[in-house]
Amino acid sequence: MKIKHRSWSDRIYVTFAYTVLVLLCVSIIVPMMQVLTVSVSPVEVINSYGFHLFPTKFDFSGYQEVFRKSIIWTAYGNTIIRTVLGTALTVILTFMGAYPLSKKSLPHRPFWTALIVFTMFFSGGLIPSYMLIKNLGLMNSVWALVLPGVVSVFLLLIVRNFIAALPESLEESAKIDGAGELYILWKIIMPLSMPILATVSLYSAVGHWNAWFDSMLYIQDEHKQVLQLILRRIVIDGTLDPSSGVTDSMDKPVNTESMKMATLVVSILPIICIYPFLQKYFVKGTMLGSVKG
Amino acid sequence: MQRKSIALPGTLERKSSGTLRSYIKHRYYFFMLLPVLAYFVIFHYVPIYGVLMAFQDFRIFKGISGSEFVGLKHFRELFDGIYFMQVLKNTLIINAYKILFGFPAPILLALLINEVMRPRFKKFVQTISYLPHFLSWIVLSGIVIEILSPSRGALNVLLMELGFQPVYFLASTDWFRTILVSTDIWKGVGFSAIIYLAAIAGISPELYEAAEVDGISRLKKVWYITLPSIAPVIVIMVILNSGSIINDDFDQIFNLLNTNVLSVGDVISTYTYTEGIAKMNYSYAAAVGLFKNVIALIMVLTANTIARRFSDQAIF
Amino acid sequence: MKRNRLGKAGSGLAAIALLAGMLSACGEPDSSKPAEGADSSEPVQLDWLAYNSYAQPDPNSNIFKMVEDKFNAKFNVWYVDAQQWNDQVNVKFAAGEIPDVLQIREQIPKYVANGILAEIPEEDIQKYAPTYAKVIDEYDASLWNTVKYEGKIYGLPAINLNGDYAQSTIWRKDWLDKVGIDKIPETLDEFETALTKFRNEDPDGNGKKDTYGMSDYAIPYVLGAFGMPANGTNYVMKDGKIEFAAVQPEMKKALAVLHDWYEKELIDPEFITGENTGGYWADSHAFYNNRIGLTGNGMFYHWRNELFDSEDAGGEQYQNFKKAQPDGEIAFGVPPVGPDGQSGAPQWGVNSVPIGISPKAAEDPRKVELFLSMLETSFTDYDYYLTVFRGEEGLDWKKNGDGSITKIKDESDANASFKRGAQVFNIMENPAYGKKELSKLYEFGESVKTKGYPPVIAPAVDSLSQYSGNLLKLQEETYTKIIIGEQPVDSFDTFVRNFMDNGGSQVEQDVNEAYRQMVSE
Repeated sequence: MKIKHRSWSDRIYVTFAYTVLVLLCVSIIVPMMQVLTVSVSPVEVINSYGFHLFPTKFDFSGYQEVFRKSIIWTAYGNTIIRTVLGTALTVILTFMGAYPLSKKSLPHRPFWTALIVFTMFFSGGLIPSYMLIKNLGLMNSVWALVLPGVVSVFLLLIVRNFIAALPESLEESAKIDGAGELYILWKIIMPLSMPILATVSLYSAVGHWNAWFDSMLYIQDEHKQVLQLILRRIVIDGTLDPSSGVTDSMDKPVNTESMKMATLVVSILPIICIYPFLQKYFVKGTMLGSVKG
Repeated sequence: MQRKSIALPGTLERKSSGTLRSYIKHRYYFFMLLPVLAYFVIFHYVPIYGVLMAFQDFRIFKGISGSEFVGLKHFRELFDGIYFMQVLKNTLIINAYKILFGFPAPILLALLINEVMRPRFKKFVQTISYLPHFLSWIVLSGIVIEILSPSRGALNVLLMELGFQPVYFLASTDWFRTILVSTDIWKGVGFSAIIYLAAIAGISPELYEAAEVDGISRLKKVWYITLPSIAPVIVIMVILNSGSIINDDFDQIFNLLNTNVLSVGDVISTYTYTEGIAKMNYSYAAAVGLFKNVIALIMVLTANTIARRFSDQAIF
Repeated sequence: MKRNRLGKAGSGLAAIALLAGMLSACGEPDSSKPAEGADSSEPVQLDWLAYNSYAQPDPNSNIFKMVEDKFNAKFNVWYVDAQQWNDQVNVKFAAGEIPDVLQIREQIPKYVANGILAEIPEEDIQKYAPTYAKVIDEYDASLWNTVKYEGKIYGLPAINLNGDYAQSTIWRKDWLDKVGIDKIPETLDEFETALTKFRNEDPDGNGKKDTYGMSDYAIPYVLGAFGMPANGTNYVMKDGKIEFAAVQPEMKKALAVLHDWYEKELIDPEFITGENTGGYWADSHAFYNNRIGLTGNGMFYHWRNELFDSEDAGGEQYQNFKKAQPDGEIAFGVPPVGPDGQSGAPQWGVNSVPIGISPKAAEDPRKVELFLSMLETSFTDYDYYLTVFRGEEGLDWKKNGDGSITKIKDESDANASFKRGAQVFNIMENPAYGKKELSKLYEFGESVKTKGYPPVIAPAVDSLSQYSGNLLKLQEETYTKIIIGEQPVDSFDTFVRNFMDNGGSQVEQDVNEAYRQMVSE
């Protein structure tokens, strides 16, 4: 873009944008520094009042403990498997649901949409769902983590609306050129939908990465459980006193705060790194250009 | 299969044959849709019988089929609690604020990020802004307590430097909801903005190019091109978010709540926390869930109706 | 799937028909394993949830093999999340998955009503676990009341050895010295004097008036000076009648004192968000950071400041304190004595999580015998007890000359002993053996033991679980508001009326009714 002269209002607006973004980043980086610092600090620093932006004393025992804990690495593998598998299935199925429903000519479209949307509001609750997973024979397998939430109504609707909003002229001109339905789907709709499909994969991947309740419920074998559940166990451990009904034993080792934060850091690093890779799909208009070219 | 069950009953033959033709014409779309519909039927419609538990005194050894029906007993138990109205009010107020302020925030963020021309800074902002989404409230609550501490918290130190009295934010009934709403926005804004960034990425560059020729200012571009182009996404997000008026964030409130702000901060999930499945009150838990679902459904249907009336965008 | 559900429905109905008041007759409907008629030399299969589940034990470990050989048994040990125990097991129960032997972490009537627990006949206990029964009788016979429902025994009471000790009262010894108090305060007045000096005489010597006397952890101790540490919906026994502690007139006096102390700035105004600002519950960050000079809540083993040998650094919280304040010293005190001579700290009480058996286990006499024999053995065989409780000798612990043990810390994995099968089959702690194996620790515990208020053992009633949410909220809110002066002390009377009118009276009536039945059995 070539902008020679920025107007007065443009400058104010851009300055405003940068100011807000910088402030937001600062407000996020500061607490993150606290987490990072705690993960490498000895207990006396952690227990002292105030903000710990920079480490004053180093103690890597938290990380040592994390790296020695084999269960964390097993859980890591499990989380990656479920995230990759779950995200792939979600993207495919969401698209398969969204594309037909985006067609205004589809017979009884409101009914089919309503059929799906209503599931957002009436769930049978935990117990029937548990029985279902059990009866389907999915207990203790990765499918119990992937299948129950494989299509999200929310994402499906977003994709549906995105596709519906694509310029119809492209499709029509392709039809005039004699392109078949599949060709249109594959060569026009799909590439144009990349930004929204990237969003779906990101949301789905993040959802899988953060999920723990299903793993707690459906997976009995500790070696098949996911990272967030192990992390949660490590972080919550010892925070509730015995009056709350949790048993406390003086024989049970207490996790140090540095170890808790070290686990947290280790567990969120990979998922944070995914986002920059997907960002190329958010660059305005690139996809459209490639289709037209 | 669906063709028959949906199209035939009670319709005129001429019309039904038209519908039938339409189904045949769209058969490939239905082949595509079929696995998705099968998923919803198996994983969402089959377990729906669990709703019955809300009207029963569920006993494990009797099962849902054998447990005694007690009508609205558990709903009465919920509604008759002396704090129910207060807790419901808190839930609605807190969530209304969260929607009112929290809904536009990611749109604004996406628009601002879109103005950034330096790709590196853009990437940096995007990645940083979605970071807090990965921190649980168990971890964040400690940080919030520290920042807001009246004696040593950064915010109060700043206030005192400026000559104000320190405020015990977390124990103040005037401030507690503000804290909940602002920390909630802070935590989720970057993550929610992604969807709008994707929508903005879908806008045809031609529109901007045309505007460029006319020498239109950035703000006007936002107003006349960007916002109208992402309006469909905004509308659908409004509709879906309206249901969240009843869904409170248990982890956030539970970890920040204290005994001095119960009157403004206690919400349905924290209030019913002592009951529910963890206490084997399966039916009570089901009743609370059903109550929330009905409220959410009413909200979404209302929002959808309004959206359909004032725009051509709606869910159905 | 549909067929399966109908099948369940059918058997569920059949179970009701069979029921006729006999709860033990209606086990898990679709349990297909033949219980009777099995070959008696075959190992007995047990689904096991009678442990804390701190980590998933390895079923091929030596301890598993030893126990399985010794009792001719085969265990299917459940692994559940120790922190969200009820969220998880209650769903499993509802889906018909019920173990044979389990910890009872819910009110017994609820488990019984849902068909999860079966009666354990008293003659079986006497026959297969006589030593255990005798230990309970001698330790505290009223423990049997905690596991009875309608006159039948539905669980085996367990003893929490540490519940015998009140929560510790911890002073900053160096602060007391600094402000010229050489006797550890004992009465409420002496407490007030010490706390006032802590507030006003700059005990940390930083030249700023930034110290307070106490925070939230010491509040129950002040309530204790008036006869009961009221907390939520806990009870107090008055003239043989169970009443709610929170509404007693004594508590009004106690709140007046606390409010007075708050006004005099003896109580840290930030007590509302707590002196613990995260992490392990027994930590007191305000205490570590020179903000307050009196704390509590933790146990003697948290704050132990007597070192046993050169490698020992004391209790975990003592260590944390020393790391934060290397020149600081602590002293164990006593809870304050009130105007009427009463005093005491909160105490967990000796009853720990009881163990019960499910109807499907009760059907099989071999299972009952096996489970009770295992319990009995851990009460009669010290070496067996050490192995199933502490882990493998040489790996997890070594024995000293006097029979006590020294734990060996596994540097690579803090949970290593649990994975090797420790604390899975011990079922419950044997108090005599517990004191023997950690003799020094318990000698220390005795030396700093103070008066305490163990919880009143009362039967669980439905109305309590119905109203407890409201009552708890009412109590917490009112107490805080009175202490900080947002409500006058006299509003206590209104609070009492509200409390009683909104479920309090109902619960008291029900609980006393149930108590009379329980005691008269």
